[in-house]
Amino acid sequence: MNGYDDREAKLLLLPLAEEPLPPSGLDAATMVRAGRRRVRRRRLTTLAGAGALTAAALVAVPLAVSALSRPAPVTASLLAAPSTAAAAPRPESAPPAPTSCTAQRLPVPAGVREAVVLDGDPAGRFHVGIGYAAGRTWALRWDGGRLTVLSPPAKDVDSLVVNAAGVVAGSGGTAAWVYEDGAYRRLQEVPSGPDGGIQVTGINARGEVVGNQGITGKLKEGATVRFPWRIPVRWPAGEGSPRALPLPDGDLDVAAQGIADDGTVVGQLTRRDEVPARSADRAVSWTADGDLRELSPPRGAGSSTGAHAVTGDWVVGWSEAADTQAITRWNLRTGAVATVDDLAYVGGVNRHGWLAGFLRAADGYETPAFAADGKVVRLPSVAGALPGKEGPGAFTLSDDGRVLGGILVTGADERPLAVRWTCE
Amino acid sequence: VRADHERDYVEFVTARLPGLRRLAYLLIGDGHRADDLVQQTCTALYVHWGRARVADNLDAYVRRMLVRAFVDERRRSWTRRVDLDDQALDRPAPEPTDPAQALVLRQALAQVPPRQRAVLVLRFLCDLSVAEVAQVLDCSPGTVKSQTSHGLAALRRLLGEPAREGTR
Repeated sequence: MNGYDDREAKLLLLPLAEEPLPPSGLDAATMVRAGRRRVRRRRLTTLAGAGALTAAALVAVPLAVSALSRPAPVTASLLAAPSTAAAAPRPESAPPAPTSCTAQRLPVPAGVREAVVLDGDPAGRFHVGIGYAAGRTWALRWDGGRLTVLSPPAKDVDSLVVNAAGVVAGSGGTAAWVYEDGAYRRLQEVPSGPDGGIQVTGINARGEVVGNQGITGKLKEGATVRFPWRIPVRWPAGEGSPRALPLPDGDLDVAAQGIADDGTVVGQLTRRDEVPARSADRAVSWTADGDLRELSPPRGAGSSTGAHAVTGDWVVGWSEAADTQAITRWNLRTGAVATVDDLAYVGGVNRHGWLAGFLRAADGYETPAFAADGKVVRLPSVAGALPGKEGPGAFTLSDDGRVLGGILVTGADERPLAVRWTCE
Repeated sequence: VRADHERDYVEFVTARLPGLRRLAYLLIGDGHRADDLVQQTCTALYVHWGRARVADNLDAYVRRMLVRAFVDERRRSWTRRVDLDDQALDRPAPEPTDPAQALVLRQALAQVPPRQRAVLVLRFLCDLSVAEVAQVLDCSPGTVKSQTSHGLAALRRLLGEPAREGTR
């Protein structure tokens, strides 16, 4: 005997569930800025010796100082691949992988102290990224390394993608948008989504965009308030209406992470279970027609999987076995799946299955690199950049492997610099 | 926070922000202070993102952070507005379906003691089970049940409803 009735209690409080939220100026970019300030403050505190947070924080100081005198790598070198775990039949159209690269720091607007590259197109012509300074952000597009500062209809930007025609999709602040032919148009939310924030995650050659929209109200008739939640959405090229991607029944968390030129979308799906241990992530794909399927986990590494990028037939993501995550690569056409241990992290994949990411040395320092046909190429640094443990990496590479985008870092606080590499 | 991790963070927070704001608003009943609580929670999440992002159940982890910050009297720093930029408020305030009813209920709920309020919101508005609420508040399921009972009695009293004895 509890002295109360669940159903009656729910009915009593129901008017609050239906109540709209008041307007707000909060967004993810605000939180990122506040978080960065907090992190910096913690670092400054440690440097001044005002507080011994942890032993780890204290030993970080001499490391940061000694990094100043470490010689930065200036030339690319070729390493024999330690593993052929991900060896797949090489498509006949694959060119020989480049072996030698040069680095170029991408230009940024005056006053911008930090910038990152977030995406690049498969032809290697365009990159997009974000510049940060003094409490604001800039949406940036580079065409062959030449800068265009975008003026999207949202004050802040936190996500950007670009295709080979230079069409940019972005989101952040209070809007998601597409920049095409010098004009901006807003991406509409799917009608069933109250209070939704949109995050774009992919654009393909046709200009189709995918992303995820937050949902807080009722999604289905008769359902109670779902909490917190999001749904994957596809926007057609041009002015067409957004379409939510089909989902199975159940209490789910789903995210679309990328879209291939044929309209295939990849992402991950989590079925929520009352027992946390029974909740598992699954890498999934939707065909252009919306058919949803799970990507098979690699043998012995299937407790959880996720996909975070797709180009052509290749999907790259991760899988878990015995509490360790492994980079994992799928081929949608052949069904092949394998873990990859050439790199410590992978940010992007091209149509030959080559991977952009970074290597991590035993001392923790990270070096941007790419892996192609079982060979790993380390990417060179630029003047002014320093070795870093939290940031250096390549996140996108062109289909011919000749252009990559990513970041290097500088300063004791490891500020990011936007970088483009060209290889031959 | 590494750039690609930061992207994960932004994606997570963007998708979860409306839900977190709703939870905070239900707990506090005031939009500005609710936003402060959300911002405090998300800023802390950013600082701990490297560890948090690999949590078994990130949603539950963040919800726990937010609710504990709310009930922990010693850490009521969210009552002050911090670090909030002057964002353009370009969405008009939407009209509630029944403003009077929701307002009366919200004001009554705001007078229920914080822990009891958190239990009512989590159980009956967020549809969490007794076991899940116990985990969020770091207490026993029995405590959740008694807090539910006390909280509902307090709410009904504040709303001027007659007390109910053992209706089941």
